[in-house]
Amino acid sequence: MGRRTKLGLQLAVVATIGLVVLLLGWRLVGIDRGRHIPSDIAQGKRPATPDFVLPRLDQEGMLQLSSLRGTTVILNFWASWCAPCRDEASVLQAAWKRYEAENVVVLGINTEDLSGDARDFIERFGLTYPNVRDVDGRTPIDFGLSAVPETYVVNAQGRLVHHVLGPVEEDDVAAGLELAAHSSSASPKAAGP
Amino acid sequence: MKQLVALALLGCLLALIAASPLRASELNPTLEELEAEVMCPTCEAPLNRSHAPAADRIRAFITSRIERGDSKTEIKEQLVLEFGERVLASPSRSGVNTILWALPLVGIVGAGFLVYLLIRRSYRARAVRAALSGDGLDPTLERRIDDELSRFDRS
Repeated sequence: MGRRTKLGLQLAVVATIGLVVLLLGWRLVGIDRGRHIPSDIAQGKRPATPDFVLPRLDQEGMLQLSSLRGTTVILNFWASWCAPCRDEASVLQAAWKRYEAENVVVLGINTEDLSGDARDFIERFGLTYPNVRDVDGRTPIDFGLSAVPETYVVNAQGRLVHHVLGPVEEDDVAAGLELAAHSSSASPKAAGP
Repeated sequence: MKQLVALALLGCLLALIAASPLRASELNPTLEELEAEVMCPTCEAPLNRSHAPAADRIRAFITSRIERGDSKTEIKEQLVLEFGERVLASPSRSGVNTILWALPLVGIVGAGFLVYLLIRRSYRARAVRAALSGDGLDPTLERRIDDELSRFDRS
């Protein structure tokens, strides 16, 4: 075997191993990318809200989260098969009705669910606030979601100020909105870009 | 020639025999088959190993599609529309996924080639050692070399 062939072969082996390691690393980093968000919020930081463009579930078209900049957003991750999500549906609907006029939007993100089941859920609980659908599971990873239901409150500047793990209650909504209002008027204590 | 034709016919027959259960499974899939080929999105395990509520809903969905007469491919395509590619236990063989399917093959071929090179190298080294020590040379070859050398000397 010629010296050049040998060198080429060795390079090919090294390049293949490098590619496999790179792919694995990329996959591991991707899985973890939003994990810091809940702990950042718990420490009083205000991480930037990961943006998304997702298809509407309650009507045709797409919705981009950043298009809601300037409003306070109660972001609720849910699935129709999740029992606590049924418990909190009425609380979120009531919050939407109560705060709609105060520049507050409740936005549901349906995830890990069948679209037919999700639409039945919306109809069954009479939800009138906007709902989008995550298909590939990326948005929950971006937000560091561990299970459904989970709720985040985004202030008018697009910063995450409050996080509720499990079913949301009226007190959680009130606390989140207060934090959003306070953080919007106070100097930003932002974390990350 | 006749043997070749017979072999080709036998090959076609065997291929047909092997393909018929696959075709039956494609047209009339069972829940058990699909449970092994579809992942539960919440627990990242195949459906047949998951009792999560999401897995139960997917099982119900598959059952309703089988009752409607959908093929295996149609059911899988619908599930990919609902959950993305991650719902499939084996990635599809298109796009970037081709790399995933090709890499093991490339690895096996590469490893085979490396083994071949190592064996060849070891044989060569052994032959060189034998030639240098002067023993172990094939008597026929030795006789031939002597003949050639004497012929060379004569000329």
